[in-house]
Amino acid sequence: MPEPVNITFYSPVPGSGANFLSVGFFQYLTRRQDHSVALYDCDYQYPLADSLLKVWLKEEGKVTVRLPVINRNQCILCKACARACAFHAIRIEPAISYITLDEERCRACHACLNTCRYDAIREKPGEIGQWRKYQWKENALVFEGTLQAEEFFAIRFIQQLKALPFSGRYKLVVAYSGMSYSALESIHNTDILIVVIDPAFFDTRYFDWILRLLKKNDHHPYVILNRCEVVNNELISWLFNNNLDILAEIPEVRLPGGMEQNAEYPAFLPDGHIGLEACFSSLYQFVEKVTIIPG
Amino acid sequence: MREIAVISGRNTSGKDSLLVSFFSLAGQSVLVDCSLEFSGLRKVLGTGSVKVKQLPFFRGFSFDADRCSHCRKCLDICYQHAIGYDHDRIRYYEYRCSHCGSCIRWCPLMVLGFENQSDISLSITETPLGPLLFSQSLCEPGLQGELIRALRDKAAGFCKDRKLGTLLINGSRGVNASSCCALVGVDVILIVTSPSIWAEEDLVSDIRLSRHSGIEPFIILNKAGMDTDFDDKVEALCESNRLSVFGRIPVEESFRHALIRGTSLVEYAPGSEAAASIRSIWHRMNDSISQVRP
Repeated sequence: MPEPVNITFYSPVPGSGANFLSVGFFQYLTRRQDHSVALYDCDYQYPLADSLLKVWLKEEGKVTVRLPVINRNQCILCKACARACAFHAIRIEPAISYITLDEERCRACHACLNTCRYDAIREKPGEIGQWRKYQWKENALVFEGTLQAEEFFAIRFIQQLKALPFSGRYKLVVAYSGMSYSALESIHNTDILIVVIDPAFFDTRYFDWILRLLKKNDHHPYVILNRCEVVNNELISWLFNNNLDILAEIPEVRLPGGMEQNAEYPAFLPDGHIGLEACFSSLYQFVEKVTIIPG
Repeated sequence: MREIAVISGRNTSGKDSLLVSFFSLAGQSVLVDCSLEFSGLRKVLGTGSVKVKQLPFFRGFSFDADRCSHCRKCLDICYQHAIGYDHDRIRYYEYRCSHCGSCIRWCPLMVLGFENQSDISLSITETPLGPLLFSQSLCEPGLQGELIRALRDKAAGFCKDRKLGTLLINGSRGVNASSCCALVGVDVILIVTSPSIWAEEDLVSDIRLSRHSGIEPFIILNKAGMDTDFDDKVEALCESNRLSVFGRIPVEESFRHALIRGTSLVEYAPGSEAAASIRSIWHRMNDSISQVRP
């Protein structure tokens, strides 16, 4: 079984439409029924799947990290772990003469575990959030989750969410929008990175910075322009200077009467929206061209 | 000095356009962009020269590739998978690192290390309307709150030095430590909402967030009239939270054109209905502040 093709949709400016495009493309791929598809939503604050698609819950579980726990019987109070902890989570209570671990400060980096020579620090699972696996159609799965711990566990959370097993052909990932460590982690290890840009929100300095960070992490982005009626010459010249290809341009989709909940793909579009349909078919052809199945 | 924060749950609710309009109405004011992701504010206002100020409290990573013996001990040690190995070289994924120092302690040749310099900084730009403060750097999620505090401290200093009366704050996205940090101790919180499928959910969490910082929020309905069902829903939601809709801004095409041209709506289309409603919101809000703090 070949590894699934990882296609990531990322919007550098939150609200550029990466969520809608990914869900639309997910529905497009599902409708073709060639292969099974999964959608991973890395937005741990605002998961979208259950509000955009009519899905039913198939499986759920906890996202855990291994937190250290101190075994006082074996501790000889050498204080090595307290020195090793960069976050001052391990302290020695002078009056009671034993070591305490402050779980609010602990970031589960395992520096103390690596340091202790007396086997006095063990591991225990600590919950940082939940993941949920939804079924949409026979061949379509949706993975999402919510983080319920400090934000510094977000990276670990996204890592584990993206590692949830799926053995199909396409793995669509909605990256955490904006530029942050969470965004970089959700882009990590992708085959095709699609950056959704709204010309109205283009700013040369910001996008230069984004591109530098993406290149530093060995990503080559492809661009989709959303709401492309607004012509921004600055953006066009920037794309040309940086050798970025525009995969598709999508005119603005005006939704009469707002978006209905649980809308299905053809239904959530106004009739005859050719732009989106053409975008998806060209995107599909591009994906097929880039990732040819061996044999 | 009065501090006015504007928040909205997810994006595309028109918060940035509204803030730019407020900024031009306020006159003597400082604008702080606490949203560490991109916002329209920077695009509209941050076009001038930018002064960058380094912040000392962050650590960077250094790695001496020449002395590395490729023993790969660090790969096993790092529980965060921040160190990877491909094409015969050590790769460091900064965004996964929690700077715990395990790798440094275990590296037999001591080629891994931390250094104090890093590229985390504050940016200050002088716009025609007043100074704009923002940060365009990546930092660990755990340190974002600290960065926002530094931004707000700096802005408060600006207000004091130049004797400016108003500090406008662009709140950060979501409900987390950094968005709480942006709202601590402000005088007024405005919640902007506009028709979308998440809007109600977001409105509830935003009301909770502002009540968490001890302030009854003002709710502004943007793009009113686009979806009348939604308008009714927001009203019902406000009523059940013992609030009322403070202002309504009608749908206006010029918002996007104003954004592209880099001006506020109040300047671009002063005669439009939306501009009039923004002006009325601003004046009524000022009245309510002066009632509380004469």
